[in-house]
Order: sequence, then structure tokens, then C-alpha cells
Amino acid sequence: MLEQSKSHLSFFSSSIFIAENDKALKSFGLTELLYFKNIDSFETEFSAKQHLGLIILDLPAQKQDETLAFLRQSETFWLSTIFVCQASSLSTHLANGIWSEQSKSLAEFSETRKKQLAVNSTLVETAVMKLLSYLWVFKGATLLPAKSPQMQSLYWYPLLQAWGIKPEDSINWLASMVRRNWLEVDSLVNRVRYCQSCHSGHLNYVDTCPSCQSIDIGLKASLHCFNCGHVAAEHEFKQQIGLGCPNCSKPLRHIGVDYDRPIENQQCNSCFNLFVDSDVVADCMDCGEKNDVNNLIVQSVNSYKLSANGRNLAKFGEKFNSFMFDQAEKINFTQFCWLLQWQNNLALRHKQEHSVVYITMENVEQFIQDKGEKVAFSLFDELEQRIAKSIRLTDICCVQEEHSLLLFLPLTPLAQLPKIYQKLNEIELLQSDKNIALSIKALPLPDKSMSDDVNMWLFEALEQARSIEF
Amino acid sequence: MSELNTIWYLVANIFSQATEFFTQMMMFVPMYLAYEMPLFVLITLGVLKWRRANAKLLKKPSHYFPKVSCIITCYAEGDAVKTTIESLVEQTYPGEVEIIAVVDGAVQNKHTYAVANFCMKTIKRTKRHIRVLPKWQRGGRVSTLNAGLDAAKGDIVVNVDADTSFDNDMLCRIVRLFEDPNVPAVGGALRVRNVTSSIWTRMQAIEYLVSMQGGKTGLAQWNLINNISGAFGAFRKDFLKQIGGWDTHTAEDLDLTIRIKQYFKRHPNLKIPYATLAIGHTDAPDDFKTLLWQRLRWDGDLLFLYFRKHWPAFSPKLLGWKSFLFTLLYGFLQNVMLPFVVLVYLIVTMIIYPWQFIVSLSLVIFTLYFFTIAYFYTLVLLGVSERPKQDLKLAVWLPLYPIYSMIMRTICCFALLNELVRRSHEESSMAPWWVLKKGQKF
Repeated sequence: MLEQSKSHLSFFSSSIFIAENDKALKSFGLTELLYFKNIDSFETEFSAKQHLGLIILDLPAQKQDETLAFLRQSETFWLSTIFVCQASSLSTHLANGIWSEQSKSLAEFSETRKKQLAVNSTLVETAVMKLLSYLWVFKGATLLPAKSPQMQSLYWYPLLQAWGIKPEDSINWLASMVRRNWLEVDSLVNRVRYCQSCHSGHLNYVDTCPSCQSIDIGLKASLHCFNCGHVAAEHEFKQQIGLGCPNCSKPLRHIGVDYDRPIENQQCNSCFNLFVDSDVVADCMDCGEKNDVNNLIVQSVNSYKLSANGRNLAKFGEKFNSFMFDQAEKINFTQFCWLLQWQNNLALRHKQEHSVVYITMENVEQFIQDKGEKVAFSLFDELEQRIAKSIRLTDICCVQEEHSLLLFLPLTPLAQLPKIYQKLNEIELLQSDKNIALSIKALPLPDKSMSDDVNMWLFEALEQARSIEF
Repeated sequence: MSELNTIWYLVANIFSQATEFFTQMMMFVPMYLAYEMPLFVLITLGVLKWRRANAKLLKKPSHYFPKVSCIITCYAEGDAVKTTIESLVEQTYPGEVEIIAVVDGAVQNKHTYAVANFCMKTIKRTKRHIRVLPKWQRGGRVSTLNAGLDAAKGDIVVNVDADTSFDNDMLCRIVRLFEDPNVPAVGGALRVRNVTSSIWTRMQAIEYLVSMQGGKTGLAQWNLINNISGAFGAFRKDFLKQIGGWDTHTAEDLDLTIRIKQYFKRHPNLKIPYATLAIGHTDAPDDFKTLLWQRLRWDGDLLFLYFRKHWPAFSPKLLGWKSFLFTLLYGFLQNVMLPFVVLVYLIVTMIIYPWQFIVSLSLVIFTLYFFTIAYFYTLVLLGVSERPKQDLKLAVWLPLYPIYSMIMRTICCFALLNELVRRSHEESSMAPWWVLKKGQKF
């Protein structure tokens, strides 16, 4: 009992409570927590403290949301365990839950995880690593979208916003995370349609005339008098109280007995065109673009959770590599070396020609910092796509070290390679930005000088090979 | 040839004897007239008064367009519901119309429910709102009506049967009568839709024409309407809710009319008009058996309501003298007492008098009834009917009507006896037994 209360004390002694009054603090019996009235008083006093066990907030809704956003933005507290006493609109997105009896064990669990966290130090400040760490540290955490009708995107991810990803970039950014197998979709929250011109979700759907696109359309019904067969617009039949045929003057009292409605069409009041189905146009409220409904950009808004790959990355710090593609057969470096030796011997005997291509990207970290992850990822994506288009399924690929790729292209002489160079050369970003550079080196096989130490041979051969720079 | 001669002789003999008795019989005519004449006069003057009022009403423009809720009581009518909904959607009334199809026992009556749903999804018209209200558990007509009343959002509630369709000016005409704040309810006119189906429907068509277009139009002018039909009536919603909506037991329509009338003494300005030209078309029973059961129910319920349920409230203190006297003479006497008197009288004469006398008596009764019906028929045809050409076709069937009428009177006797002895209202098919069992006993 004593033991328990001790651990309790040590955990909470490094925890803080921010509220306008400390009533809730007392009612929870958490008197050992440091109490602050607001975020400013807390910040000045707390910047000195190294480790923080827990933050509990009990603030008015709007103030609480602001504080949560501030804490997640801050470089010190982005991974802090934060609980709230009362839910506010952003508390489900930015806090780790509403404080209850079970919250303590959850907080302690997160503490342990934080210590195990092994993310790559060079990239730890990027949103990618923040997100992966966050989702791994807080058990069961998901990245939730928040609804915000006044925003053009309609949905945004408060956590990503806090870490510098703009709402309009979030969806693409997350899609590339999923493509890299770090995140997976937890659940589909909604499906939204955006204007094809300005990507705004503020659309007004109007039915229009298919001929002149005027919105001034109305129903035009015609009646058919059974007595004389006269067919005319409904308004011509209207009498003071009931209906009467304008042709034979017979009162038309009962549908199906005296008359029916043979035509029920829509009519445009601008061009007087008659039509059955109106066109629906999505009128953008922001840029005024009149979108064809079929051309709208349809995007799914998901909540995301950590995938197995992402978990490994957070837990074991697996090397971050910009080359992630599953087009070709992927093997590890040892296997690759063994394969090279075998193929070299085969080629010597059967007079075949193969190539080994080494692609590496320079200045990647610098580039990400300068240009932001969105640009960087779009570059990687394009690179991948172009390489993927150039290689065959029978090609072997090996991701050797950070941002570099080894390809074995069987039965492909060096003379055929310029085609691949050409494709990679077309990437605009590589041409426009001098900071990032792609270097390609190619070796022909067979090579009689290949020793038993393929690793060594490869290293030396690549050193000597002339590189093609982009 | 000799057989023919014999027949001729017999006929001549009957005729000569009959004329002898006929003169005697004519003594009854003044009695008949004394009883029927006030009704003649009331109805004839009423119809004339209505013609003037109607012409005046048409000249006056109206800007009163409250929201109207039409409650359709559906049970197992199936496809007929579609015609009803369509005819309500088709109304030329310029205001909002809410059409609520309440399906009683929607679990059993899947088809009716499906038809109503189909209408709700497919029929789109401005200012017409179709809603379907399924009552999963069957609860009877009264519960269906009250469920509809509860859901209704309009100021005026029109209750209609699912097998009744309407002329497109029906709501225009009904609503105009509600412009007078003293009107809590309006009766709607019904016509027989399937006139040509059988001899029975033709007879009922004449019956409806004479009693509704003629009788009710005339009597309503003196605020003496006897019943707002359960198949088609309109009410001011607040008033209807105030008096508790429809009450359990059978013949909820007559019950409601009687209850409204009980406010007449306290609110002497209240009146229940009859919308003669607001026409609903309904299917009448086309074979004798169905007709028989219908009448057994109606007539039995009449006795139940007058003599059992509302007997304590039958007083000039509540009804006012005019309604009290009228109900006494033409509600109680004519509908409840007279059939017995006629039946007993008939049996006694059959035993006491020779057959020639009975033939003469029948001839006299037939003649009287024929002239009566012919008179009212002509009155309606010339003074009221909005479809005179169509109604004229019924004229050839008029001679059969007195016989039909006699049969109906006999049925009425059985119905009254059935109610008196067997309390037939407790076995009505209008509500399930578990509901009837719980209703207050009278």
C-alpha cells in the first residue's frame, strides 16, 4: 500500500494541473500536482523543468482548445501526456482523453513507451516522426480529422496543423504516408467533394437547364382532357376553384376520370428548353467556378492509425529511406551481393550482359528542411514512379543505405540505360532546385575482376565509375 | 289460352279489390304527410338557401389558405391508396397540404404500406407533402385516426378513407367554409364510385345522392346535419384536440358529431356546414352480402350511440331545443323506432287482413315512397348535382328504389334487435377484440 502511494507520488510530483480554480484538483484527490492558473504562468515557471509526467487541463472550452493547440505545437510538450477534465471541441484530437481513474495507468504506460522511443534522430523534428512517435507512444491513439465548415477543406487534422502541415496539404501528405506503409486507414469518416479549380469544399449544388445552364428552371406540367383530347399547359386549365378544359369548357374534376397528366417536364425560363432531367452543377462559393459534378475532386476523409511498418520505425528506428517501391523484387544487401557473384559467373560462361545501377540522392535532409515534407515527398513519389516505369518485374532492387538504391538489370547492356536517365532527367524539381541532386552510376556485368568479396568489389567499382549527375 | 284468361281475370280482380282498399288506404296519407312534410319543407327550403349562399360564396374572393392535413386511414386497401393519395396531391387548393397515410397494422398489411411508401417516394408536387405513418400494431380505426391527428401539422384536419378519392376542388370548397370561425367541422359529400357494378351499387348511388346531396345539403342550412361521415369529414384541429379527438367504440364518426352537437346550447353560434360540392368518390358494397353486413353494423351502432352511449347527454340543455327535437323525431323515431313499428305493423296486418288488403297497402306504400324519392331526386338533379348528366342515368332505376328501401328497413330492424339483444357493437370489425374489450361499457 505504502509502496503504491510512493510511486503514485513520484509520478504526480512531476505533473501539472492547469485550471481557473483548483476545485477539480481537490475533488480528484490529486493535491500533489503543481497547479497553474493559465498557460502563461505555467510556461514561465516550467521551462526549466526537464521531465513532465502529466498535464491535466480544466479550462473553459475555447481556452482549453487554444492551450491544447499551443502545447502540441511547442517543441517541449508535443509528446506530453495531456488529459482534460471536460471535453472541448478539440480535446478528442489533441488530448489523450478525459481524466478518469484509468487515466493514470495509461499515462504511466506512455511514459515507458517514451523511454523506448528510438526514432531516427536526424529527422526527429519532422512531422513524420512526430506523428509516428505520437501514435506509438499513446496506446490506441489515432489521427482524427476535425470538422470545420468555415475552412475550404471542410476537414483538418489538428495534430498535423500543430506540427506545421497545412489543412489543404494534409490529405496528400497522409496519402503518401499510407503509400510508404507507415500509416493505415483506421476508419472512413466522410467523403468530401472539392472544387476542381480552387479545392474548396464550399459547393452549392444547383439544378440547371442542360441547354443554357440557367438556374431559372421550373416544372411545366401539361394536362390532357379526356372529353376532347385537348393537351395544354396546366395553367391554361386553371379556373377560379377547380380545373376546366380551355378547349371544350368541360369541368375536369377527378384525375384519371376526367383528365390525366401526360407530360411532366422541366422548362428553362431563359431559353424555354423542355427537358426531363436537369443538370446538376456544383457552384464553388469561393472561386465561382461552375463544376460539373462528375469532375469534382472526391476525397475520403479518414482517421489513421499506425501500421506495422510505422510501429517498427518508431520502436526500432528502422532507417528512413526515400526509396520505397514494390515494383521490383526487393532483397537485402547480402543477398544482392551473392546474386551479383552468381550472375557474374553465369554471364561469363554464357556470354550474357547485365547492368548494375546505383542511384543515390544527395542533400535529402537539407532539402526536406528547406522545402517541407510535402514537396520532398512529392519528389520521392515522382522519382519512384519514373524508376518503376523504367524497370521490369524481373529486375532486382536493393535498398542499401539511406536514400540510395541498387538495381540489378538482367540482360540489359549499358547501352540501353540512357533511356532510364532520360526519364529521370525529366523531373522538373530536380532541374529547378540546385540543392538536391540525383546521382546515377552504372556498372556492366560480367566483370572478370570481381573478387570473392563482392561488397568490396562493388564499393571500389562504384568509386571509380563516372556518375551522371542531375 | 284459358290460362291467360285466368291470369287476366285474377289481375283484374286484384286490381278492382285493390282500388277499393286503396281509397281506404289513402286515409293514411295525411299521417304520412304530417310526419314527412316538415322534412320535405326543411330540405327543399334548405336546398334553395344553399343555392343562394353558394352563388354568393363563389363571387367573394378568398385569401384564407391555412395548412391542411389529410389523414388517410389505411388498412388493407392495397392499390386503392394510390388513387386516394394522387387525388389529394392533385387538389387545386393553393395552400400547403400535408397527406398523412396512417397504415393500421402495417406488419400484416405490407402491400398497403408498400403502396403508400411508393407514393411518398415518387409523387412530388409543390406544397404537397406526403407522409406515411405505419402503425405496426393493429389498433382499429379510432387509434388510426388519433395517430394521424397527433402527427398532423395543419390547421384543418380532413379524415378520409383509403378507398375514397376526391374531386380536385374538394379542399378549396371545404376550406372556404372554415373561414367562419364558428365552424368547428364540415361534412363532406360522398358519391358512389362504382355505380354501374351491380343493381345494389345503383340503388346506393340513388340513396347517397338523395340523402347526401339532397338531405344533408338541405338540413345543414338549418344546422341540423346528422352525421359527418367517417369516410370524409373535416375538422378544425384545435377544436378536435380540445374535445379529445375520436373516441373508442364503433361509429366514431357519429359519436364525434353527437359530441360536437353537445356544445350547441353553450355555444349557440357553432355550426356544422355541409360542403355539398366537395365530392369524395367511394366504392359501395356491390353484392348483397357485403351491403347487409355494412348496414347491420351502421344501424346497430346508431342504436348503441343514441340509446346507450349518449343517452344521458340527450337533453335540450346540451343540444339546444332545435337539435334536440330534430334528433328525437328524425334520429330516434325515424331510425330507431319506426323500423320496429313498420315491422310489427306489417306482421299484424299480414295476419289479420286478407291478401288483397296487403297488396293494396303495399301499392300505397310503394307509391308514396316512389313519389318521395322522385321528388328528392328531381330536387337534387335540378338544384344541387354538379354532374346532372351522369345522375340522370339513374332515373330509370328509381322505381326499384322503394323496394330497396324496404329491404334496408328490414335489415335495420335486425340490426337494431341484434344490438339490443346481442350488443353487436362489441364485436365490430373496426377494431381488434383486445381494444374493444377495454372500451368503456354502456
